[in-house]
Amino acid sequence: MTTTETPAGIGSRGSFFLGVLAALTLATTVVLGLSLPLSTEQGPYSRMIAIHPPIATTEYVAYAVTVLASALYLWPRTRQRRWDLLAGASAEVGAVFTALTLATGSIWGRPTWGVWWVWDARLTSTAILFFLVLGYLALRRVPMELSRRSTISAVAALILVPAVVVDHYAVTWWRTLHQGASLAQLSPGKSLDGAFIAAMLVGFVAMGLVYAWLTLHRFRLAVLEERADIEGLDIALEERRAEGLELAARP
Amino acid sequence: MNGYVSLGYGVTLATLAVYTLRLMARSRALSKVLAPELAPRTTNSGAKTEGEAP
Repeated sequence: MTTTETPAGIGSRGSFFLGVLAALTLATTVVLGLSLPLSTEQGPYSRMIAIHPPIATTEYVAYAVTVLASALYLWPRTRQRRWDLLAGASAEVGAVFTALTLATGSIWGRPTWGVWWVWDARLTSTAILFFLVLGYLALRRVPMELSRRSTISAVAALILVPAVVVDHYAVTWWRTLHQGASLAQLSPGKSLDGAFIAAMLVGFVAMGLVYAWLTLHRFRLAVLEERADIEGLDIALEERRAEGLELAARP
Repeated sequence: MNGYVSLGYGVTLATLAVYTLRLMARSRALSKVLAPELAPRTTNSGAKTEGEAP
């Protein structure tokens, strides 16, 4: 197993430009989303299309990265600390996106369905996914030997594969109140749909960039945290050793 | 502008902003604690050593 190099802080020139790009595309998404025309079916509420589907899709990307990094950590030939830290970083950012998926979905559902929440297959599977990820993140904080905890966490992360698949296909496997795939329902030939597609596609890019920026910084922070833990332990050991020597020197 | 739509966009932007600020604050605090350790370390010949940032 190799160690991960520690950056001096979590920012860099590259991440600065990535952050600026993410902020600009996010601002564009907000402007495009809020200026969408009223739709016949949902009135102003369809403007949520610029953020809700992109956030939900980005959440899947985050968990795919977590699963891939966990698999790389479990595979003996590719086992490196960085994969374990990346898995944790991506899962944490993914949890933020899942919380936002549930929140924006609920806010969209209230005026269109008449309720904030319904035990629909898609909503329920997303909630289960959210709690699974919270459990995974809690597992990563259990005090135990580092490599053992990382291995257990990496195995636990694999449960995200069926959870994401069930969540994604919930709208086709079961009769749900939640609509089907948003992009599949739009047709680029119509001028109105074109504006919705454009706003949603910019939203996908924006959320993807925001995810990349957040995960990069969370990963760098995880490297710093691990270094602080190790050095804190070293300092404590030195102190105990000094105490021991002091006691031994006493007559 | 519709209240629900504003709430949806507002919650999204606020959550992302709060999470970003939390990351930055935690990073700043840790960087201060680790500051002496993170200072570029060089050997007598000036070659980079393990602790130096990439």
